[in-house]
Amino acid sequence: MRAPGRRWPASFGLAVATALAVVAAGLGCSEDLVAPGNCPGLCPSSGVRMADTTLAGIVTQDSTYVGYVAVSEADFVVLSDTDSQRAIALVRFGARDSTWTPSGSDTAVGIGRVDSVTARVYVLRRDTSVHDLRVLLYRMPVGFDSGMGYVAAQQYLADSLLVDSLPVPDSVASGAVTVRLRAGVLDTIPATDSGVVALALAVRASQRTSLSIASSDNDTVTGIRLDWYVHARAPADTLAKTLSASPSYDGFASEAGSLPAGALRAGGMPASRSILRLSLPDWATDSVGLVRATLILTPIRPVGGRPLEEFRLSARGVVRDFGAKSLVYSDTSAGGTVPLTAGDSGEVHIDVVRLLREWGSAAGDSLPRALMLLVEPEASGMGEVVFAPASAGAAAPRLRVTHVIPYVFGVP
Amino acid sequence: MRRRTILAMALVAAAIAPAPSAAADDSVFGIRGLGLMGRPLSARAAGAGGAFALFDPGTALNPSALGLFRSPAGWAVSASSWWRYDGGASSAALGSTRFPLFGFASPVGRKLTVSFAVSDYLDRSWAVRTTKDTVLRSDTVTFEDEARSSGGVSDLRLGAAYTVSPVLTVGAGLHVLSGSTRLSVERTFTMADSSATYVDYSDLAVTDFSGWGASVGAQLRIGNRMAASATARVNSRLKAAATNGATARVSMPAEFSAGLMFAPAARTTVALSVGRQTWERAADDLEAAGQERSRSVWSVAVGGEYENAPLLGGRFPVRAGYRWRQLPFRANGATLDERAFSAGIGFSFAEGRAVLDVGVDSGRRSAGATSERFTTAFVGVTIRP
Repeated sequence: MRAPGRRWPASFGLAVATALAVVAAGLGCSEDLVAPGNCPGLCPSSGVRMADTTLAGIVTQDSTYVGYVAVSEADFVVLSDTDSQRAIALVRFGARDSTWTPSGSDTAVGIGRVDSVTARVYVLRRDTSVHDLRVLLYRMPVGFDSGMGYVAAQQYLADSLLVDSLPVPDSVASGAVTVRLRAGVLDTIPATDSGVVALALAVRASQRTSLSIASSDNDTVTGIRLDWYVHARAPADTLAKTLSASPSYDGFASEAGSLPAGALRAGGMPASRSILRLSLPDWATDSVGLVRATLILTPIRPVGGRPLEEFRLSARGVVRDFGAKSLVYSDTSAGGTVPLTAGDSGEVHIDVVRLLREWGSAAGDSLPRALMLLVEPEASGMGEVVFAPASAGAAAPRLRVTHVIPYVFGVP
Repeated sequence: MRRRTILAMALVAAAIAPAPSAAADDSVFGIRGLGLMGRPLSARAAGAGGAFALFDPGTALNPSALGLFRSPAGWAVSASSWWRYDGGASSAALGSTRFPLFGFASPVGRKLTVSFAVSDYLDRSWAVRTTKDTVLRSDTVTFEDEARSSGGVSDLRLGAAYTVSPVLTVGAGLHVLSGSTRLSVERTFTMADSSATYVDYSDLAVTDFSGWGASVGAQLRIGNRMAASATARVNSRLKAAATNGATARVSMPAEFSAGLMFAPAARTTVALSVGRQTWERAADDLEAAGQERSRSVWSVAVGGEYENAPLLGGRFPVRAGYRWRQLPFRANGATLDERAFSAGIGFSFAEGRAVLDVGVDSGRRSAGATSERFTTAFVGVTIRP
């Protein structure tokens, strides 16, 4: 075969060469090799196989820590008289001014006649199916102990200390409610109290119920407030003034249900969290082969909270295990979360495959094999989960793992 | 003329500039055994079905053919393939572009020519995808599996040809087999229930291949109208070493090819070539690795070239051919054969200093009920500065 040597028109040859070059260059950037598998004949000899197993007895140590958010730091206070939750609000108002300086004057005047006193609350959440809802206000000693428990506070819920009842109309699902208090009960404040008033708030209705009202820590709405509509002393008694007092402390005392020894809790108020420290086989912390891992918790009582309250229970990886002050991931990118509703009673399943994969990676290899359970958003409600601890046998926390059996890459 | 030549060369060079890959034919049939055997043909030889391959210096098959280069030369080939895979219940249209061959050669003195060429030896590029439903934890989960292999084994040949006499040229070559494949598997989950969290799975391994070979060849001119050519090659065992530490050695075949070329009329040439590869030698090693046994295979090609075809006001060489070959690795439980028709054309620039060859190879490979129709367009450029 001799080398081709025929000549042909220059312009035509150049055009053909150009076209071919363009086509070749374009094709060089595209590839589509994927064919539908025709197994087993034309598939890899080794397929992807999965296994599903439940790991029990994996929790080597568990702990519950309480007080991440104190009741006085919450943006709400709870009033409740339900069987599952009993709570009353304890409020200490800031000192009411006893004098004021009228505009255009440089002389202060004192309080003379009190026209009226009003109490205002902002309802955040209520059960609208409950009627005749009202908030009872009781006078308390201004020096009450803010750590007072629910039982200890009962002594102040006596009729003799009742200031008034604040009715919450059925039409108010949420919003401000104001009541003009009975004349005389809060008009004057004993001099020994230095202008400070303290109240206990309880809820009553046609049936047992729960009510959330805004606290002074609520950034969105105004919390509990007292207003005095007063006149100055004579001879300036034509001057009128409204003096207000907001809480210097507002929290609530609730009746803590008794927990079985060692029970673990997350959520509630004051906010609690639990840490589970795990011991896992190596294959269960594989950054490649794990496709699903579910932490299974067994509640020992229905999920707590206000009626139909919804919240999320999250499991976050622990970065440094310092007990209650452990450092945890700031979100559930290494962990998982599950929505819950108060009253739920089934097992709680949280997918934590991302955390286990993180533990199996080079970056996560040195991390403690521990996770923290907490409620999100924390301290915005009463939602809580109480679940069986590691010592609970079959009800102990366990892990269901779905993983790929290590793929066998054939050689050659 | 000079400006046109330079521009054409630049265009073609730009088209084939990327580094060569090991694969010319990416086929799902490469999933079995050591892959799909490469065809280290120039575009010129491919246009005639490979019948002239033993006589073509640009084809990395017979080192004695290098003696046809009377001046320094460089050449490269791109191969764009389209194929339709038919798996019975499913089918797919696929395509890829590869650069299966390039080389350089230069005469040393009056009788010796040396060359270095890189060509495709085994193609292990393929990908398959399957979709299944399964029940996991009482939920129906749909997943898609994709297994993908990319790479293959290249043949690096250092060759030389020596012109013993005007009628006899002999040649020899040293071959290094080198390359790697990257095999990946992926499982992607699709859940009807978005609350279920299945994380996609993927894993990969890289396997490196190494080996060597040696080839000899001869070309004999028989009168003014006939030539004969033959080549033989032996290979060492191919070593495969995976990143997970696993290794294997596979015996490679001895290869024999012979061909006849005949010129029945002026500017007309026809050729026939026959090849044999003893892939049966690899059978035990493959079986030990859990694969099906391989078989020794034959290949046959016939073709012709007419160098003075008039077309569109010009005259240039046209080629046509037919080829058939057996493939050594069973697929889908059946032996695999391949047959194709070819055609080609050549363009010459600068009084033959730059040649652009185009070839088309279209055929079918089948194994049982599974088949593949393919078309490969070869574009090759040869520069003789």
